[in-house]
Amino acid sequence: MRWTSIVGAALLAAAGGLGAWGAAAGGAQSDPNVTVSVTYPPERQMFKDGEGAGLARANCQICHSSDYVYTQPPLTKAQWAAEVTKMKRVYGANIQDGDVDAIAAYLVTQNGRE
Amino acid sequence: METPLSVFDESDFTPNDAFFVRWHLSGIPATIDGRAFRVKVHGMVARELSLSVDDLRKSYEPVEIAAVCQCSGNSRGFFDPRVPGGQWANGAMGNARWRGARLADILKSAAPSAGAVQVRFNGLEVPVSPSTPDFVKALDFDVAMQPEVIIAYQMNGADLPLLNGFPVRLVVPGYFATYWVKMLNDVEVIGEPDQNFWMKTAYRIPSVSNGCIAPGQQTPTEPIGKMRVRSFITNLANGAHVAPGSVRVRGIAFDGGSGIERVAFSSNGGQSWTQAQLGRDDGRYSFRRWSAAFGARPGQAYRLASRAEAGDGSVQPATACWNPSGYLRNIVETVTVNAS
Repeated sequence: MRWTSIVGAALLAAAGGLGAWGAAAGGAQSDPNVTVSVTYPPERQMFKDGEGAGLARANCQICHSSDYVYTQPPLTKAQWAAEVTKMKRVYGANIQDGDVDAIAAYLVTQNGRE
Repeated sequence: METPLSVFDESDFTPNDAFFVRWHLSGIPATIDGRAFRVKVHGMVARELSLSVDDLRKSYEPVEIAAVCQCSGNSRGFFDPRVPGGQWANGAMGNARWRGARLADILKSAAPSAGAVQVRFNGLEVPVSPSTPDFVKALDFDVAMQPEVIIAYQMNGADLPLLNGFPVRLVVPGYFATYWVKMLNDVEVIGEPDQNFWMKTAYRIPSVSNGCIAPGQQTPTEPIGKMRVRSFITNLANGAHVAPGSVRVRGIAFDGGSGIERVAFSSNGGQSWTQAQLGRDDGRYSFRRWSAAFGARPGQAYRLASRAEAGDGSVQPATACWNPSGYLRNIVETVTVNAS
């Protein structure tokens, strides 16, 4: 496996899990009249335990992995709140208004700064 | 997932099983039946089309082009101050030989109307929630009609891997990868600029100062477009040890399609430059490999740098571009090595 793993929206890259597609669709094959499948790798880690972890697991991981939070630059609570609000307003995440602050408070404990 | 720079040192073309992968939405098909797959061409056309991959292969002249596919946010992790988003190093790019049918030929066979303004592209990638904007992109009609723009069904002589868009993806040489829609199954000719989220709100750059601004500065924005000239050292990583004597340095360079004119090399952090030798020319949209040499003395550290100049006269800058989305980085990169 030759990738360096960063975080993708959905494809999170326990590299071993992707061996299958290299064999199925890589190689020298050239006949698109076939059925091609991949097995996406499982999540590498869940959000770590802590106050608000349940909300983060329930609201964030529908669309992206927890890695996407842990690999961001450390953000302040206000910046995390802005990110959560963006996920709700811009990307359509079904986050209750009353949960935005609690999720931001949790995220700042996971990857935050003053 | 990004490609290690050492892979680019092995050949002009990036192997399919090492090519970077990026999607936007989590609804990505895990299985695709290539035989049943169709590309629909519709909108402001006289003849709607529904094309199988065999139709694309047999009804249109096949063309092959070497072209770099680079994520808009490649190298975002190096932005200072840092910005949110995928924290890529420099490996969100690759170079491949793409084989397919010209989009212009396909559009002509659909007889677009005189009022065509843009062409909109959609693939099989979908959001998990209906409230999340679907990933659709648009090109101005005159860009879409350029002969190098193709719907590709082969990558480096093989089927596209599913993760790179099997069975077909749009290839827009010179443009950032956001336009290279994967699993492309819908091509729509439209009569006004597209107003979808991924054109109107996302993937935009400041429409001033070459896309680079000071942190906090507010400016109008425009959709990102062509890539900027860049170069990298591929055979030596930061902190590498080299043997004293003559040290060979290899790398790659590319731009948005004017071609690489020359690459300058420095072993002293840019205080002085020598001309690098350019490798095989695979076309103006491809990686162009280069090599240079310097003399290393034991116990010395060397700051190696490369600076590419493109056919349009643009040269990599000595200072970094900044914008809030982390796009367009093309600063002269340096690699420090030690002789011992």
